[in-house]
Amino acid sequence: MGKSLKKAISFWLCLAVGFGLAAFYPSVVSETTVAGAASSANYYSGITATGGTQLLGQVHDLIVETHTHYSTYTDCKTPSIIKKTDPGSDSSHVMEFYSQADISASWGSGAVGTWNREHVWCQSHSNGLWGESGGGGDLHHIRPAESRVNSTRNNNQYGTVSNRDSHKIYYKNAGGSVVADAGYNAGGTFEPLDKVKGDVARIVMYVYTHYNKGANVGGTLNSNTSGTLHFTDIMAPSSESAAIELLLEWNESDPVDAIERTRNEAVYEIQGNRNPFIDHPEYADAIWGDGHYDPPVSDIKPTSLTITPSAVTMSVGGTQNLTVTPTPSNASGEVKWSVEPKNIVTVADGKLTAYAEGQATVTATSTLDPNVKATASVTVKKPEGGGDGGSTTAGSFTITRSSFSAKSGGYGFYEWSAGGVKGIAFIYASETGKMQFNSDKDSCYVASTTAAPGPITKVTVKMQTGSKSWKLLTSSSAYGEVEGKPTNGNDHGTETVTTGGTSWNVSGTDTFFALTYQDTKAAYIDSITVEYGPSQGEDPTPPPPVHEHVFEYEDYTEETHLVGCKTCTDYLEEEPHVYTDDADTTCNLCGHVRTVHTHEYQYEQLDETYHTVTCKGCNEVHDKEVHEYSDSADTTCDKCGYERTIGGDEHTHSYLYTDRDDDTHTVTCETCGDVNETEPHEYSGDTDTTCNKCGHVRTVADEEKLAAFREAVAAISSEGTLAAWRESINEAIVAYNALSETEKTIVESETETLLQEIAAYDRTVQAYNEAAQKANGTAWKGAGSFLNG
Amino acid sequence: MKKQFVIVAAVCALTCCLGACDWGKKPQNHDPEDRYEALNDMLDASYSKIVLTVTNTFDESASLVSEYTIAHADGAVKVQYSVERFAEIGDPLTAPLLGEKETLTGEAVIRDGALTFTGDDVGLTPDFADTRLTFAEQVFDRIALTETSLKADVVKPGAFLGSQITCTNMHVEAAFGEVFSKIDITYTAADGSTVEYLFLFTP
Repeated sequence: MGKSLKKAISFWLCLAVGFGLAAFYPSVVSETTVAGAASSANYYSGITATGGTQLLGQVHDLIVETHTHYSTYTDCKTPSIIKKTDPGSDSSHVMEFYSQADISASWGSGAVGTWNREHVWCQSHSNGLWGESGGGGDLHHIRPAESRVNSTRNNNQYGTVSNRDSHKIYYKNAGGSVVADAGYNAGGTFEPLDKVKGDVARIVMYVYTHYNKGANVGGTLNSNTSGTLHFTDIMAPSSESAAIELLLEWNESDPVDAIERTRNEAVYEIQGNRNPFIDHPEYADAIWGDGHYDPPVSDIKPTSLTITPSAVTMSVGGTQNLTVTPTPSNASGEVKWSVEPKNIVTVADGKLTAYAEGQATVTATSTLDPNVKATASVTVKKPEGGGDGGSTTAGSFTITRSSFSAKSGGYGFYEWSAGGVKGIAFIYASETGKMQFNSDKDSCYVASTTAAPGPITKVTVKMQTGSKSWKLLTSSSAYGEVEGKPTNGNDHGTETVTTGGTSWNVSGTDTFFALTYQDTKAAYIDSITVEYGPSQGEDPTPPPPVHEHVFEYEDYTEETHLVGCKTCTDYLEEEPHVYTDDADTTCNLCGHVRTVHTHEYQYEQLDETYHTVTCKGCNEVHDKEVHEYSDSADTTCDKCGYERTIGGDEHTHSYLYTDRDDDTHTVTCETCGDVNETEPHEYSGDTDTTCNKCGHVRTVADEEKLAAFREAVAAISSEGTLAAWRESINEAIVAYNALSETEKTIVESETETLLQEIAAYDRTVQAYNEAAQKANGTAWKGAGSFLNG
Repeated sequence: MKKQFVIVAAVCALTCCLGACDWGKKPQNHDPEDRYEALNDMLDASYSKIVLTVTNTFDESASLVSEYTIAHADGAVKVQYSVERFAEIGDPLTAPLLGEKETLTGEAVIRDGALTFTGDDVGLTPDFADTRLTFAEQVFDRIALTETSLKADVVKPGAFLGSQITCTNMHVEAAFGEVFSKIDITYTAADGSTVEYLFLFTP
């Protein structure tokens, strides 16, 4: 066979065959880590919000952005994938979702006792957002469910079933025997088992968070097939709040377990994103309930810190917020603030308060590394004017993005504080480098809500990028939150503001201002400097210098010591001793020495059920305990020696083992019927085919047959003649059909290779047939003289 | 066809009378162009049966043979055909495999330029009205032309076969007397396979 012939397989033939064989050769998701996926340890490092829509939006953006590989509906039925996401007790089983029991790993296409794909959030309740792609192929969402359980649940909403025990449904095997309970179903409502409710709730919350449009959930991104979802679409309660309440209840009553954690890791490796409600179930309450989420403090040491702003000019009495940014960005930003000299300005949690004229240096020192610091210079201007009541304070304050304490969130009103003046602005809070406005939003302006120290004389605005039009208003009264833009006050005109800065000169006595956006689309302001003139007022009184206590400790009682200040008498507290651990005998602060007593317990019979536990040394009675026996036949308590009686109504069970299915048998007592359990078959080893208890005969993989099949597949070669190629494929097919169903699951990789060879063979013969047909057509035309009558 | 024959016969008879040709005798010592014309005329002769066998060979074990038996009857042309195709494995993993090839058969009837068929559809079309073999010196090279045979390399395959074709190494061998007994055309197709068109004529 010429090599050129092999190479000449046409593109459309390959495409046609590829589509045609899709049913036999499902796409296999790479089982290696998705390229670019962040380490799971740092996955949530960008979550800074503490609750509500802000937290929901951040979580939404995170799981959408990191969802770099969208699994397919076919992936959700591929045994090699499902064995990783939903492993059963052994390699031939996976876990059935609603019962959490083992089910054969083989795809059963709807046969009883086999599994198919369950949309936890039904397609029919997805508002058309998914069928078998997008959310309908998301491995965090789709679960394997026994086919009859799946069809019984149908598209019923999740909720509480009244009198549920009379509406229980079961996972049954092909023989009709009950394998396990699977939930409760009645009146169009499906209630999962108690141990599955949390799993369902966390899947529902994931789907809601992921596949709602960003704008619906406070986020900024839209995912594959995103739209609008409500909890009432999938939950039975009629109101959204009641649906949320039920989800939060299930989230709490059925905590995250190893099943979900294993699944989360497996799907994360495939898709690149995680179910955040499994890693952080507390998110649910923080977002939709009354909870609060505290983002963990990073333990990564910063290599440097940056204070913003790095230079501040203030007036006496004014305040200014400083922010610290660590490098790298995921390092800890926790710092200790200090200032020198202490009588000019104070600093607390980054907030400056100016008390006296002068220069000061503020230092932020990393709490993780004292060698990592940053400084900012502060200039405080003394108010002008004398004691005749006409004191003046001319000065200015500058508003930048760091004047806002909010560091995340969507568009909304946020407070700023600068130079002792406070105000509001309708900005996009997640943009922390500049003040971002947008004409498309409900409002677009910045204004002051407290008065400047003096009448405003000049306002200078600098854009960070571009040029946009703004209007300045001033007023003698505070501005507030309005929809659109405020219009009250004195209009000082509209100017085009540039990156070089544009100023309005203002006269009058107004001490409030509003800067309103007059242009279109987005605008990014770098700074707004408001200058004000002298005003009437009293001289502010500077505070006394700040005193720093120097603590000393004095042993006081067996349990406490006194804490005082060496240099002042203002501090005196009683505090408990501090020890390193339970064995430590010396207080770390005052040196008090304690006696550590080790209890030596003794047990004394109390009654037929309990004995008491006391310490021989301190005679402290700790509690009573239930008698402890080695086994059901033991008559003497291992601790107190109580002798119990076994017998009377009790008897020795006579166990009867009854084969139940391929995996289990039932255990009952022939005489009393009290024992009625299900346990897995027991074999002596991997090659043992007969259960030691019930006699069930199983099929054990025949290694010779497996080897024969593998060899036959390896021997397939297209290098010789077409007939030889076909024959080699045929031998592999014969060897495949000699395998049992169990054995076929062992050689899935080689089977896929065989299918590929078959596809290649078919493509080749299709090309040959095409070529022959073409040649025949030419011959037909050449015979035209014989064909014309 | 009969009309053409009468006309030709009349012309030849006249020519013979004039001594310009020896109709009825084997072409000999004629101008080459005349000899090729005679071969083209043989294409229009009446044959009771023509069997066209097309063989496509892909490797030493893989070939497809298609046979078309052409006969005239009742004012129409009937073509009985059998066309081989390689069988795809198709539904996989079902042991054992079915046969390597399958054969499609049927009969086509061509009447007044229209084609109908019964049996398997093998893609026969009535687009042969203006196509035919054409013997001419300029389409051949390394010609060995005798009174009973022609062997030549075909350097203009499209002009010879009467339709576009992409191939190499086309060769023709024809055996004839007053009419053709055989035309055997071989070539190498663009995909590297070899193709043979074998026409066997029964007068």
